[in-house]
Amino acid sequence: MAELDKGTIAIRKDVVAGGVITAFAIGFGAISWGYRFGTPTQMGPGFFPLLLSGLLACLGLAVSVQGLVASSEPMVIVSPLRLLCVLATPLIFGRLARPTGFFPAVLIAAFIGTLAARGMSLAARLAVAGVLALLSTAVFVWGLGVPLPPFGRWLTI
Amino acid sequence: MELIENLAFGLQTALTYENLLYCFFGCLLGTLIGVLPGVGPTTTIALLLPMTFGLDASTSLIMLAGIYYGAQYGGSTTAILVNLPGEAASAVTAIDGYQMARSGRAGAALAAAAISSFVAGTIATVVVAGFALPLGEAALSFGPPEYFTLIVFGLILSVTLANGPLLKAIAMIVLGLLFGIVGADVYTGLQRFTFGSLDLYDGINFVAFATGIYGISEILSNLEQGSTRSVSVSRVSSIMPSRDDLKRIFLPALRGTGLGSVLGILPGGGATLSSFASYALEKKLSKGPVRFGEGAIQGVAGPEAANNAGAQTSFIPMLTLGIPGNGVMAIMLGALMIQGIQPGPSVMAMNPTLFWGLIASMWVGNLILLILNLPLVGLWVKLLSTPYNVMFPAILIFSAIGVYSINLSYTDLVLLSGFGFLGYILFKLECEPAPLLLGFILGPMLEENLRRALIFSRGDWSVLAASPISKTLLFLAILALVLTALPRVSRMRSTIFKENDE
Repeated sequence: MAELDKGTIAIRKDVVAGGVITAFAIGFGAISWGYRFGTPTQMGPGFFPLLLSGLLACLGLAVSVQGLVASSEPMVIVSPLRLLCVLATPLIFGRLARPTGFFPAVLIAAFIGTLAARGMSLAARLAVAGVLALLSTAVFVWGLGVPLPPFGRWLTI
Repeated sequence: MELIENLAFGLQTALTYENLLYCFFGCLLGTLIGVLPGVGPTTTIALLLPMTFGLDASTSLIMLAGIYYGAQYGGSTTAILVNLPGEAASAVTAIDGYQMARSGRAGAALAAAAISSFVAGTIATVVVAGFALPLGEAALSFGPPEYFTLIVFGLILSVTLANGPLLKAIAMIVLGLLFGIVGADVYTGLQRFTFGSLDLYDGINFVAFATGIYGISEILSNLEQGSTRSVSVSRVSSIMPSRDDLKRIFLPALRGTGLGSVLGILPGGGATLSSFASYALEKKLSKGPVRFGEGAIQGVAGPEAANNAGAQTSFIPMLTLGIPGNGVMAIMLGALMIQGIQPGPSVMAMNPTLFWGLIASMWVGNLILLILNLPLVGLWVKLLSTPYNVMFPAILIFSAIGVYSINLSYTDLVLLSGFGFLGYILFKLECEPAPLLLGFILGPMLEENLRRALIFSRGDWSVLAASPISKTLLFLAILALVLTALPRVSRMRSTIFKENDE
């Protein structure tokens, strides 16, 4: 998995930052446009958000403009596959928690999580996932009383 | 004296069996995560929030507070022994502390850190107690316009004192405000930005937000190529400092405490700012014998006292006014709200056990930490050698379980991952997460107070600058903005703040 790490990209940070900010401003703004604006005395639900979106858009543009003076800098980023493994772990856990039960859900999710690590053998990944599943079940289900069955519908025991 | 009575009352609460236990647990856990680089008090406190549901309000705050100042103790240990500050606030301690360790004086450095921190913690406890009453009373004369300007002032000051370029930080605040608005509008019941999802009716789950932005994004950044940790630990011989050492610790510790107490109260302040300021001060005042940067014990004592004092006094605005000054306080506020307690001046009157119990527990916690740390140094050192490959799946899984266990809601997990991704992007683009968190918490409050102010004044916007308090706050906010924008000041800021904040 070492070849995954050719992760550097060259961007102008502030320009992109401004872009992201402005994108959010447009998003929030467009939605707030559909809400009733009202008057200052009777502020509608759209008043404050629209105001803020406008402010945010100005700030975003300002940041981008400021960023234009700088030149593109290379920047290390995490490899997309690793990113996906990390972000998928909570989602997989959530999807599996009820159908398969707590223990298998943690086991599988943790295993996916370990896939984001570099230089780990398959055995090590399985071991870590197993230990985490056991530990979590002990701490969360038996210890703290989280209301999830350790083993669920799909694996009727 | 009323102060002594209140503190004694608080001690009664702090010393109950349950609260002692959780205080101990918090301090221990705090030290642990302070020692481990990559996990910070903000993330941990966010992670443990679900656990506080089943606990009494005072107990949960006592534990969470213990984590915060415990992390400062833990961070110093790694800073001294391994030159790897576990916390941003310990970055300065590493400068002289590690040099002391390399010349065989690790024990004296650790002792200096622990003793200064304890002295600072004791004094800061009294400061917190002392300030609470007058501030609380002053806050009673605050109406909606004053709260509005106070929140604006707090938000602005927090970005001027903190890291990073001003414009981006302000943008982060506004973005946070918008995220905070998601959910049902209190006045009209209209669902805003929820895309029809019932799960978002009460707004974005705060824990998912905080854990994602801080915890998950931190993991992502640590998984980048080239982030390796090589640990070479100095040996620790004797822990006892010499009489000379003690003499040299004394004044810097006191000065650090003073500095930390003041800077901690300011929004955006807290442990990190205080420790940096103290190091700068001690360096100026130092007359040797050892030069700063080569193992001067004053360079350990001052910042350590400052960061502990700063951590504790940063509770003041949160507890008395309901306005959090930094990310950790914002989460503590969240913890209070989870318990159904509306933070603000009324907390002192309506929940005296909580209030004074928390303050008294800070002193108890400092005592626990003093006793705990020196013998357990060896244990912490062993833990530092846990490979990150084992740690991050654990953090990831615990985050997921923790967030899920709040509402058993899949949406919360989507939010967790989503904000983790966003947090990472923001981090790469050098946008600070702390203002985002602050804006998120304060957004609803800001809107509420604006609405109320305008309703009472029948649409007259000038009400926001009418009273003397409002005028002062607005003036100070604008002053802070202008000063920070000036080129001289912005150069100073970038030299002082080279590290990422927690």
